[in-house]
Amino acid sequence: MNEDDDLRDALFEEPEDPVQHERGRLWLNNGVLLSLLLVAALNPVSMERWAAAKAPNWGIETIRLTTQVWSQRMQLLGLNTPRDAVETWWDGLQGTGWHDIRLPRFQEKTTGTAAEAESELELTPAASEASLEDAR
Amino acid sequence: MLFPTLTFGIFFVVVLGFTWALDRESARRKFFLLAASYVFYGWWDWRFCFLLAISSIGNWMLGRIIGRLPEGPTRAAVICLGVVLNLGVLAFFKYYGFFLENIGEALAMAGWERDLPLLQVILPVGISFYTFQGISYLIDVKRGEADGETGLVDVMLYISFFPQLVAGPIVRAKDFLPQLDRAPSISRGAMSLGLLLILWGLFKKTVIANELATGLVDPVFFSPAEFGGLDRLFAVYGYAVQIYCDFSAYSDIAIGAAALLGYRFNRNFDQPYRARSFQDFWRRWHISLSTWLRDYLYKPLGGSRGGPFATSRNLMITMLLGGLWHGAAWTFLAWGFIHGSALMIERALGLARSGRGLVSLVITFHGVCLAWILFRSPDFATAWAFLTDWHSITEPVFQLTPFMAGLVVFGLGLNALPPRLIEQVAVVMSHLRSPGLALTGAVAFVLIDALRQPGMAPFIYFQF
Repeated sequence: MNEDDDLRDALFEEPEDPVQHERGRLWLNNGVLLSLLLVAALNPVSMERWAAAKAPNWGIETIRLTTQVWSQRMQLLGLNTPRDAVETWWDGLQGTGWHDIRLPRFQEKTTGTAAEAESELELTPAASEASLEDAR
Repeated sequence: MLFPTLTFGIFFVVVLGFTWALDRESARRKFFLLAASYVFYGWWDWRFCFLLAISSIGNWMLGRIIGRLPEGPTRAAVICLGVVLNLGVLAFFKYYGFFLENIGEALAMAGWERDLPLLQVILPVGISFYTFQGISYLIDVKRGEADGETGLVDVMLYISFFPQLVAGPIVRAKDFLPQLDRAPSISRGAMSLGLLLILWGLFKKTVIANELATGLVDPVFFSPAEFGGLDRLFAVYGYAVQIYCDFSAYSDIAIGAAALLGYRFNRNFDQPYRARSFQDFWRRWHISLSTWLRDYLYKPLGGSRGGPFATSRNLMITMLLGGLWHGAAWTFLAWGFIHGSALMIERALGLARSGRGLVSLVITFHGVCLAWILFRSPDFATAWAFLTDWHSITEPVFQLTPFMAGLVVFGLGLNALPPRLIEQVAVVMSHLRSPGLALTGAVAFVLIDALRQPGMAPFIYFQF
């Protein structure tokens, strides 16, 4: 066995079959085309931002205006919602500071311990009286 | 043209469509891919294309001569000439300024100040990678592992094939050239793996590496003295994660894109931070470079055949040159020295062979991180500022946020995933129908695009 053989992923080593290749190609073609349509529907803002970042010319400006209108139509249908929700969640994570982090279990435990400590303090005189009586 | 941009996305979809339309017409397909590769490369600066073409044609001509000559001194001289010419081009573009600067300083110290012919030489993108591929072709022809009679288009395509042209992986002539002889044929599993590698690479680069670079690593390494110990500690860990996610992302996208076009590349990374020795690290990190250095430098120097001293010497030379390959700076040489020394010590003490546990993993990881400080610092002064005054660990944390700490932990955690997990996911994905594949791909893409920062920083290895 060649010492470099294990460096190649096993899936790349599958036997090459022309029929399987044709079927696979059709499968990937359909997948990629459908995927592009889905991305265009769910993620129109990406294309709009890309066009806005380019130096303006006739072609880029046409793309920008077209994607702007497309983006607004998709927003009307609410298809931008998943992406916006993810973005908002991610921005929230990025803005989290150390002081924002709460550890609920730890706090409950702390609270519990403090309450127990307080009740222990209240019980302390009685307990000491009982111990005194035991001593007598 | 950067991989994680819409421009490249459009370019790739067009190239993919045309390549598959031409998959029964081998000559036209290769010519088309060659033209696409030059468009891709010329997108940075069209003048670079001339150098690439000259390098490719020169190597093709030398390969033909080497293939036709019988074994003997003439053949050896032609091989030497080829290697020297390749390295000469690399030396001029990459090390000329560095060399003259140091000569000037040395002369000034000796009291002989001279006006040296300093030139502002632009470093062509990816020159270190395609120069090594050129050398690989010549030596593979010499060893009989590649055919010296290979056509010009094939050799030019081998050296300039756009997925690996700019930042690797460094592909061997003996691995790639035979693939050009047949019509590309690829299974559904391999297609799924290609797609997944592209998506995974996009995620690692745009979400993890870029966030860590701008939010933690760059500010701390810019002025380390202003930050406390905790910020610095996490900046080093952050850089370890950043460079892994950045470089392995490029390799993943390159391997995935080549797979969809019908060509197979070897793996270039294998969860490097789970290495339990430096030797193990180099079996997992930038595998195409480490195997290249092993086969074309370390072994020809004598490898481990000449006793402990010769082995140590060969290891050190290999790692020093490996360090210098990354860039024209003393810090890269020092980085290579640390790795070379660690490999020598491991070999001398027999540590690399013995069974090693979690402690070895932690020690190796921190040794690698120590070397990364030199690799990332622009000069020794910055590295020194980074490494001193750690008593300021009590200083307040400025740069490290919970988000950044989480990203560092997540990035390191990637190394603890089961090996070959992505292949297993690819097998599952290959059983989906087209709509299922489309939905999975689209959702993953939209998620990555929603999480990524606006704009795109170049890959770290572009500068090499």
